[in-house]
Amino acid sequence: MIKLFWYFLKGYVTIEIKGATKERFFNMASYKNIFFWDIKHIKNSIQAKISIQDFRKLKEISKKTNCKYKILYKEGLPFLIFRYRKRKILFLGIPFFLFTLYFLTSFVWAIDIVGYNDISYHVLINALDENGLSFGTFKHTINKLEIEEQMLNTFENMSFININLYGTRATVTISENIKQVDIIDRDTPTNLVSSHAAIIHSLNVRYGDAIVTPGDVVFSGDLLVSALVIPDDTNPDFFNYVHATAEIYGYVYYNLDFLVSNKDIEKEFTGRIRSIYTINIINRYVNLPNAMQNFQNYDTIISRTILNFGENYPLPFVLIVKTQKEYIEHIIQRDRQTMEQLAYRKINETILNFFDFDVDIVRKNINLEEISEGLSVSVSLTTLQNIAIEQNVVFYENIDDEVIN
Amino acid sequence: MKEKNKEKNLKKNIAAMFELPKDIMLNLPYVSIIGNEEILLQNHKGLIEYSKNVVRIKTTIGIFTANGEDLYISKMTNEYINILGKIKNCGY
Repeated sequence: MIKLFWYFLKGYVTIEIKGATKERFFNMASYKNIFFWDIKHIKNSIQAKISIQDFRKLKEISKKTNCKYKILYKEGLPFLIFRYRKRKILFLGIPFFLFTLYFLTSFVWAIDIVGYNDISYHVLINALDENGLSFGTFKHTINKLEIEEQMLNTFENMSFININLYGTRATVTISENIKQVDIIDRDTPTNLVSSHAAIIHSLNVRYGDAIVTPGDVVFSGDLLVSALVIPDDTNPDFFNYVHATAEIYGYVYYNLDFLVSNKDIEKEFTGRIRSIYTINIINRYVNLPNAMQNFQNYDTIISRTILNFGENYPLPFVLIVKTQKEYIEHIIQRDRQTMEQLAYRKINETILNFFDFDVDIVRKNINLEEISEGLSVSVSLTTLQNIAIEQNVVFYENIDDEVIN
Repeated sequence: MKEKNKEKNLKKNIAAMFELPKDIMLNLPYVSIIGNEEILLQNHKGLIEYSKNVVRIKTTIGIFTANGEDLYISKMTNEYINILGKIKNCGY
């Protein structure tokens, strides 16, 4: 294969040999160290490939063997150069193209960051930019070790960073510290107050003095467990402030009202498609002209194609194609069954998005009422959940301040 | 003739004794066949006949013949001949 590539560079010809002693022609040629390849028998003649240097030695053999030969095809680089010798711009353009390609591949055109979790992508990109690695940085001026050190100094929760440059792509691999578990401060006195208006179901108090009992009605912000603990009621001067800790479960009521419309819009695609081409050259957008009229209603599909040489050599040219598909709107009437299905789906989605996993839904009343606009849905939910939230105890300097406040 | 045979036998014995390659010691052709697709014949003495169905090559021990369909010589030097195509049978 390498030998054949070498012959392509040096140039070769396909010849046709005719005569009674064609085999003798080949024997004599091979005796003189002439190399033939792709020798094919076609009708009464033989076609073979031979290099330009060896071709010049065939004259003598032809005379001795009384075989005639002629050139069928000339192939290889010397013949290509000869054919295009008058196209001077082409010869100037090839080195210019190669130089431009080399020049463009000397910059970083893509930055990939791997391994980030708590630190956001944009913060990392900005920090890399400040430290000397950004989109369009000259590759040979990047000091990887220095950037890595500066990044580690910038982010305290970053334990490892590695910058790899493959082609025009910079891959930044980072590793963040394992998050420390928050230490509960047991020394700060805190009360527990209610987060919702609720009816108390049960209490599990570990620290503090419970103010409420099961069955009590509380409102949002009401004190549930006090930080002030007086062990002996007969001796009120002996007291202590603690960090109140408790799980207080209560029934909380929620209402959800919404309307499911009885009208739906159905799209009928006309088949007419309009494509808008935009070229992004080094962060500048160039819109190519489009002669087609704007559609009234359309869906847009955007596709981005990055021009690259292999995976590691992306170039700063991006072709953005916005394909607009025209459609006509038809208003259709929904039946009761479809509206109910939509209502139940919305209720389930709301419950999943709104409530945490530790919240139990103990009762769910759904009231559906058909009105002229559609289906009016009213949902009342009763949940059993922990309603206790911490609130720091405020100490006043003297009794007068407390009265004023 | 007898002397030639004697020399040949001697060479054969030496090759067997020292486990030397016979094709070099006795100047024999070396034929490699890959399936029914390719024949590589080394140490040949020249092409005798070449057509689409038959290739005959002169060697030191006789004429090597390969029969088949769409035969063609992919490479040929004074040391080896490489035949490609659908080979049906071959022999001396």
